[in-house]
Amino acid sequence: MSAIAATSTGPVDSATLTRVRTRPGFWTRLSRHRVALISLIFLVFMGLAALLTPYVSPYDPYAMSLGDGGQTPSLQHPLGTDKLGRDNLTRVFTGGRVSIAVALCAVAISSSLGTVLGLMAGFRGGWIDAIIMRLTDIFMAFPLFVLLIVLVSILGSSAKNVVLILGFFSWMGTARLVRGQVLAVMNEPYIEAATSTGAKADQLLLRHVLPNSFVPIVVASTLGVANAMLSEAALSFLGLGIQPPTPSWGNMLNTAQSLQVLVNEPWVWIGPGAAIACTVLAINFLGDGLRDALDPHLQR
Amino acid sequence: MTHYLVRRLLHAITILIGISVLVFIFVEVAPGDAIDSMLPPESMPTPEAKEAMRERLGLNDPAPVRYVRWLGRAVQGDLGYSLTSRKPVTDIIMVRLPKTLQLVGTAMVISVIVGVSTGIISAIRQYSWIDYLATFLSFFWLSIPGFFLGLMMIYLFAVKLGWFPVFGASTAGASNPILDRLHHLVLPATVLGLELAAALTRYTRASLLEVLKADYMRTARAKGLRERLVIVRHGLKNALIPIITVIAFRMPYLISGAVVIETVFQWPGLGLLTLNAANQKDYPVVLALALAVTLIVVISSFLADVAYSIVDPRIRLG
Repeated sequence: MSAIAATSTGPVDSATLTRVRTRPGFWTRLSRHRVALISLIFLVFMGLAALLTPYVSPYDPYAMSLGDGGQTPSLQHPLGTDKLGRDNLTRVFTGGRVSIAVALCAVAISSSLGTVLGLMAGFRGGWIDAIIMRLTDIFMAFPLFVLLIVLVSILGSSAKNVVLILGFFSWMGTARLVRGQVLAVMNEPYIEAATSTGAKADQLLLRHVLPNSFVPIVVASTLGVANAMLSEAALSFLGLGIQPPTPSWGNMLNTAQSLQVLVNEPWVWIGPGAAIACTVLAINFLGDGLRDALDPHLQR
Repeated sequence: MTHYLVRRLLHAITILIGISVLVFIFVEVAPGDAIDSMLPPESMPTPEAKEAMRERLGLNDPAPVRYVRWLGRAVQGDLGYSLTSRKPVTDIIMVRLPKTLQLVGTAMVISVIVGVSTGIISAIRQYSWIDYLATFLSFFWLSIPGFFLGLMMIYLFAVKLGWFPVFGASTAGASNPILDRLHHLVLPATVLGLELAAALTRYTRASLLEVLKADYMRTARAKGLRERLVIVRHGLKNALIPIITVIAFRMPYLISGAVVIETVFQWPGLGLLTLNAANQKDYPVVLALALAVTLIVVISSFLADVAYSIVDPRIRLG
């Protein structure tokens, strides 16, 4: 990032060059943000656990054995077992695979869509801008969750549909952000310099505008993952998202809607609930730390 | 000011039209025969009667024509009939609407009181332990899923401690119905309000910190005003104006949250209705709800613009 910022500023601006050189590297700055670092470590752990569970855990997350149902936490089952006798800890991590994958895929779609639309709106201006921004306003006024319920009830609930719907209906924040960034960048003197040296529109866009929008996009995407995870969890909790037997952090709490499970088997729902809360919290902290660590304008 | 309000009203209308188009598209792609949701169930239509009806209603017309007609009916409050209960959708919604407004309204009051005051303290005591605690907690409330928080609250305060009822909006035959309703309202409204409170804390803190750096604050102090007056009269007055916009901006989130919270607490409002209708594939109800809920958002957003123009002299006089 620093390298890109330096080249795009042009060789004339020596002040920027020195600043870039003396600025500590990205990792140094991120590691100074202690909470963000702890969050990153936690997320790496969570990711690895989710990835490796099938190879490490002695239990099958799907195989039922009714005789072992409803066990309290013990050394064999640290989080107990659910009603169908499946090891809860294994299911929490398997559910993590699903929840994380869904959120990442959804954000990959929404961030790309938002970036493209934001670039188009900001760079082209005029009626293209007007249309895109009105669309953004309209979609933003729609409570996302109600939209999700409507679409899932029409299209049917499956992991694929949840990914697509989340992806195609949460690009608005990114689009606004990128557009604002483009408008700001287009006023910079180096854009004028580049234009006067005969840079074409696509060169401007790819070499100057896009790299300068990189930081807000990364930050927004990170926070987007957190939000996508929350939406998926809520949807699955209501029984409209990921369908059992596939576990996801949301649908594992679905059983807690019955008072019997809520009161008598708290370990069944506190585990996955805490997993979502901690993961989302860690992502939010990481996003906050990334904003500080990546921002080339912010000097420490 | 009139100029500003007219512009905002036009903006709100554009959004409403856009949303109505979107909902109309959903109506079109929703499975099932549109006729079923339009006829009063008593009439027991035969297939031939349906086809005649279709022709007479112009359901074979091109989509834009049908859209205008659908919109005309929707504006008059005719959103068709529920597929399951066979009642007019508007009636169903009107019965549930007050309950959701109660819940969302209370949540909003709670969140403004808690969020704004925490934000103020946080900004005035920047970098103190209380500021760090408030920042951490606001991150926490924004990260914890509403349904998980709701379940924990029920587990702790309703089941274990027994302070509040477990779910529902009222107890049949309660000796003091008003107190009983308030009692039922506390937990769900708190859970729903906490997320908005967290957002408000962060905005208030940032906004006040920005204002505290302004030149007029230094001037006010230089005049010899007491610190409390400086902060209240000069600082807060300016810092809190943008908060109105933030509250309006968060409305969609609040409504989204209400759907989940109403389910967790079995609160008989629009959210629970939406979920039940979605589970029963009762499309006319689901789509009407989507429209109603968005209408609430757009109206409150416009009201925020009005409030803003009253509070902010730069708009009022400009």
